[in-house]
Amino acid sequence: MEGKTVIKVENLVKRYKELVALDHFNLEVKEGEVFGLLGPNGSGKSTTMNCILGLLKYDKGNIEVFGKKMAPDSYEVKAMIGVVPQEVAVFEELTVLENVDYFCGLYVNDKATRKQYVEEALEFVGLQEFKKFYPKKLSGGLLRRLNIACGIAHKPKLIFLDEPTVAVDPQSRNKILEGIEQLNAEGATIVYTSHYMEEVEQICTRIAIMDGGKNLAIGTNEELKNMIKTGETIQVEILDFPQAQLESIRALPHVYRAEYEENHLKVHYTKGQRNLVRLLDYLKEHDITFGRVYSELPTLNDVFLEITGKELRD
Amino acid sequence: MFGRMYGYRLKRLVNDRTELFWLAIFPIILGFFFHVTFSSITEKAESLNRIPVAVMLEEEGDREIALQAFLEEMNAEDGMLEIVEPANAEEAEELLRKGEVTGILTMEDTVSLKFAKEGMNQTLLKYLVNRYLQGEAILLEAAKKGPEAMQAAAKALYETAMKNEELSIAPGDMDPYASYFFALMAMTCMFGATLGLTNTREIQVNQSMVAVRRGVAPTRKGLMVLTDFLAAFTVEYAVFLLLYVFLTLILGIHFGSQYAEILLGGAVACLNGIAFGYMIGVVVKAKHSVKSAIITSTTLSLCFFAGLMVADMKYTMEKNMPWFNRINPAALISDCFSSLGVFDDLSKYAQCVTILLAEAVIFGAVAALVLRKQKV
Ligand SMILES: Nc1ncnc2c1ncn2[C@@H]1O[C@H](COP(=O)(O)OP(=O)(O)OP(=O)(O)O)[C@@H](O)[C@H]1O
Ligand SMILES: [Mg+2]
Repeated sequence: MEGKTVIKVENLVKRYKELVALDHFNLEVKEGEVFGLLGPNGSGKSTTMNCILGLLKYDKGNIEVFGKKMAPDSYEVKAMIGVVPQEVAVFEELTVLENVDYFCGLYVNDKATRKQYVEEALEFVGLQEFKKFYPKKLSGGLLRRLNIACGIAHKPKLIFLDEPTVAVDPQSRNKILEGIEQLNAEGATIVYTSHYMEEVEQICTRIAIMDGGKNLAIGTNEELKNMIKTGETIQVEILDFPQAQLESIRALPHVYRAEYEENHLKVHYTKGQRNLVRLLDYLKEHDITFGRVYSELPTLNDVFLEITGKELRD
Repeated sequence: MFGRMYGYRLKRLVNDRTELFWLAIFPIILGFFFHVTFSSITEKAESLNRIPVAVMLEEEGDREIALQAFLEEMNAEDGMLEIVEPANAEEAEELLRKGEVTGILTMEDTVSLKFAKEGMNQTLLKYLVNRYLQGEAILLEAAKKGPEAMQAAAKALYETAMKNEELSIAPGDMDPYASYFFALMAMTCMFGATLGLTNTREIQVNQSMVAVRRGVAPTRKGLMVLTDFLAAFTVEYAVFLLLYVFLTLILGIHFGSQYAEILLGGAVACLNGIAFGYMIGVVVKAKHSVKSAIITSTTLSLCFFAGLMVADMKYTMEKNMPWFNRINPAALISDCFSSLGVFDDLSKYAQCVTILLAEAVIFGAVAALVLRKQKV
């Protein structure tokens, strides 16, 4: 994934009065990436996006998009960008079709091309049957889809999506995620913000983990997981586990934590192999009967937990 | 691009049902209620075509005789005045207080008038006396030649006073409650401010989400501002025309027949209202609802001072704070239309329209400067 740099953010500082929303934030997004900005509520994801888009004035730092500084009259750069804001941004007074046509029309002047683009966008988000509907008549999920259609109809090269799946049912969410992958496959660079680690893990080629306005870690899914101690976590269902055994378990190779709670033995491993086999052998040797066994690979939540000491979602 | 943006903006504004109600339907309902309320009163007042005036002439000099001759002419069958001659000053005051006469006319060094309040009749009476004073010398000259000559001169003077082009209608032709309807027109035009406010909300990226969408698009801000504004003006002007047609054709209220002037005055008035909304929308740093409240309360207060709720209010203001009537857009709009009904001479009208336009330019310029400075 060594492409051209599409977005470059250096030492960005943004204050809202006393509150420092972004604290020397750095970021680089390359062409063709699906870049994830992952962070809990209030970590500064939207602020980052809005600064990049020139919607907010910032206090310090440097931002370049397609190699140029963003200004209100950077029309060439703006023409290549599509934005799906966090809140639904459509006209209540225009129908689904008119909304998409209006916003697409701010980018695409040719009537025939626009007509085709609008059709494609509506099909893309699955709103063809709702063309004549007014936004008020749409369910929350459909409204989110309209919000997406308005942002991407003009086939932008760079697309910002700010938590597009909030308050969307799993089915719609999957459709949206698939759509984003499809846009990427068609050549668009994507910046995707979310506080759902599963989504980010699923679609993003590179991820930045944010908290408190800082970029805490950046890398691919694997890279991030390799940064941390946790390799895998093995859980074993055991009805009656002698607490005394816990110390011996902790002494096994690669184990860095082990605990027994609610009939489950939970063993955390750093990297290393054959951990599961070794644990099960141990249990058999000591005649400990066990039920189901689960092995979990580390999640981005573990990454976040380890870096910040708190859960991503609390 | 231009046409499409204008068209969509038009639809955006027209499809806003709540706003359209206050803009277009509410004034019509109000106008209808004014009409229902006043028409019953008007019927009783129909016979009061002539202006009753108490005349108190004490001495018997040439000037008094000359004035007397003129007044008698005015008092004749088709005259404008109905002369009452009270026995003494107290009785005259009493009549004035009860509203049985419009004013008291006295003669000391010169002819003077005393009113209890201001109004259309009072204005006309003043006008007639001024006319008389201009021609007084002719009458005095005639008085020396004898009663016959004086009779003829008084008649001539009376006729010039009456036929003078400045005075196109006699009292009675004009709806005595017209001032309410003028104020209503003013209110309607000024409500255009809400359209201006809506436009500013949807162009400033920190005010609404659609503004964000429009802000990240590669379309020139100037083009958006222009098409937004033209759409707002179209809607507001259509609302004005609708009200005008309703008042004249359906309620049968007489606004004179200077149609071009009415159309131009309405356009300038709408412009003034919209520009005011633009200014509040970009200058006031507050939530949308607060701005909206500011606009509604300002508009209604200004209309109150222009006589929307109490007809005499505008005349009271004229007496105590005339400068305020010269800058209050509601009073200016109302004056602009009412002057068309009374005077053929357009100077009053032109004055109102000019001030309204100047205000609109100031509001608009302030808004444009702030918008330009926003840089996002
Ligand atoms: N207009 C504003 N005025 C003051 N503070 C703000 C403003 N917008 C955001 N903030 C603050 O800045 C911080 C970052 O907000 P931001 O919206 O960027 O977070 P986020 O990561 O997008 O959160 P979420 O997941 O809830 O959307 C938060 O603490 C927020 O309270
Ligand atoms: Mg956000």
